[in-house]
Amino acid sequence: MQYFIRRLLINIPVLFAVTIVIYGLINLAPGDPIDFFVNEEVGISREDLSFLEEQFGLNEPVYIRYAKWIRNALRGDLGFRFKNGDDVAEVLVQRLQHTLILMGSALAIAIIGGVLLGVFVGLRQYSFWDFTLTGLSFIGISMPAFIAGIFGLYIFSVQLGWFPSGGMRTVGVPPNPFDLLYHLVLPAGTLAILQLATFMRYTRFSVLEVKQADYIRTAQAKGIKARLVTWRHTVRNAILPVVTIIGLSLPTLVAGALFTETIYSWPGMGSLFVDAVLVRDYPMVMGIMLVVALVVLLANLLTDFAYGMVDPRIRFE
Amino acid sequence: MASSIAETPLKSRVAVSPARKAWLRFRRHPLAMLGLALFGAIVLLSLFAPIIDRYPPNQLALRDRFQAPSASHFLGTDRVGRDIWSRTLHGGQVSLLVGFSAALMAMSIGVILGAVSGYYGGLVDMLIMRFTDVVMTFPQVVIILTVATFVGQGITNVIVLIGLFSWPGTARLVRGQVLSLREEQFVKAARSLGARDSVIIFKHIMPSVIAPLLASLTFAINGAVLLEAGLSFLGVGIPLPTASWGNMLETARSLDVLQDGPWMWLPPAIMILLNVLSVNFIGDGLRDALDPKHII
Repeated sequence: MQYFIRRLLINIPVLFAVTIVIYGLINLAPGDPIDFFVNEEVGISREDLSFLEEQFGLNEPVYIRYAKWIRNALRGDLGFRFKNGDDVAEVLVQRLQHTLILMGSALAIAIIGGVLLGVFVGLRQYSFWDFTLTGLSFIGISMPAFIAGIFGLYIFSVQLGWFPSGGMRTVGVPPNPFDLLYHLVLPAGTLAILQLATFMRYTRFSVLEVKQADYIRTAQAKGIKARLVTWRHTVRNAILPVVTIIGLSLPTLVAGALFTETIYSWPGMGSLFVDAVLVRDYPMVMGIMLVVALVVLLANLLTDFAYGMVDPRIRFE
Repeated sequence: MASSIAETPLKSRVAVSPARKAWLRFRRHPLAMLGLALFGAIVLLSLFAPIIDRYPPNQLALRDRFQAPSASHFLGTDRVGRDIWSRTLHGGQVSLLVGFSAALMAMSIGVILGAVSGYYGGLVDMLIMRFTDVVMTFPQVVIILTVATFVGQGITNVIVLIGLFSWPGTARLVRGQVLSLREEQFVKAARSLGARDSVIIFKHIMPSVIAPLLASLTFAINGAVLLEAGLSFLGVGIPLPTASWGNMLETARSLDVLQDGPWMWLPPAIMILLNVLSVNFIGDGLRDALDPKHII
């Protein structure tokens, strides 16, 4: 119990520091946040400038603005987009759901496929499967989301025509899970490749290492059936380190989703972020960075918890 | 007995250095050697770009635009008539330059922070580690994209940005190694002889850290090359008309180029893939060669 509380408490100052970084980055950087509204050719009059500054509260000192931002954020109010006045929080929640569908599917494919294949191959070292899959895994770890995405789009959509080239739904078709799946295959699949290969290699390595441990030899010497040794001892201990890297892979998944969403026009947080950042829509950018940081911190926390549960030794360090 | 120590040939008496031993181990990995050869080829191609290209990479030739590969243009031309073969080669120069420089920068920051953190421990360690946590919370692309919109495009900007946000992994690695080596006898001996801290860290502890650091460097180079490609793909990296593998891929964002002009984006895409693949092979080989306890 103490372990869990400790992990939670460590993350709070980190979260706090993260919010300061986000706010500082946008508001202390060269150039006014207001630049979005200034047309370079036409210029802007003194009165209009001060009107805008008042409206967005930019005439107050930075720390007061920061405090207001945090206070509003805690209430769920992230301000309004510069671009079209939409409520930042509303747009975010909607896009977040879409991204979670994409990321969730990719992560599921990567974990299930990666761990199963890793265990399968680890238990059969030097076999045909070992060499083939390990060889393929090299290609897998060399294909991050944006490379795999472009190739995937070209081969499976443009050339073979098996899957749509973008979007989440087919126009004119009422939303149904099959249509969603049809649109999900390519983006989630290409996003998952790198992680699947990484998890597979890690699990395989872990299995190979565990197989050499003394306690496995003891179990075998005791006469326990091979199958039980494999599952109850080897595999169970091999999975432990994999839990850590699953958590560590989350920032990569978020970043990868950014490219995948751009390539496949998936209406998620990633494409929203790219659009917002390129037009300097700062309320939106801050909102997204906040959400992303929260997701990553939460994921790290969950990984720590999971690790603490799976390996009881950690709890008493 | 005729043979004695004095008569044994000189060569078999000479000690083999650890570096040479590592190289011999490295040589035994076929994949690692393949990676080395492939990467060497890519580097050579990029270095000799000005000699092997037939047209200057930025030269427009509007009459010959959007042409498929032909005898006069090995890999065809792009939308404004620039030669793709030439741009791929020169783009390699840019992408590799960015890759190496940014990786070196990230590693330097990481080594210093990690070593200081691991050696001194206590408050310094805690502060540096929390700082590292904060930086690690943001996915690299997200934070680099944001800052890039303020500082603008350009090779130096890209190198500095990537270097500034890629060091956490190295820092943690170095810190871990330094932590475990700190309590060794040779460190205590050096300290009792009055050596300064900086000397202890860099002359005594660091050599033992070099091994995993080298492997980490290869993966850092990969990361940097991919980041540059990604940033240029989104339009905030290397500005046109300078070619880089990433901004050549940017043309593939429009469906007509993707579909009808594959020669425009396939070469840079394949080059990136081969580069990353070969460096991964090398990195794997290095890991095994420098740490023989690895079982695979």
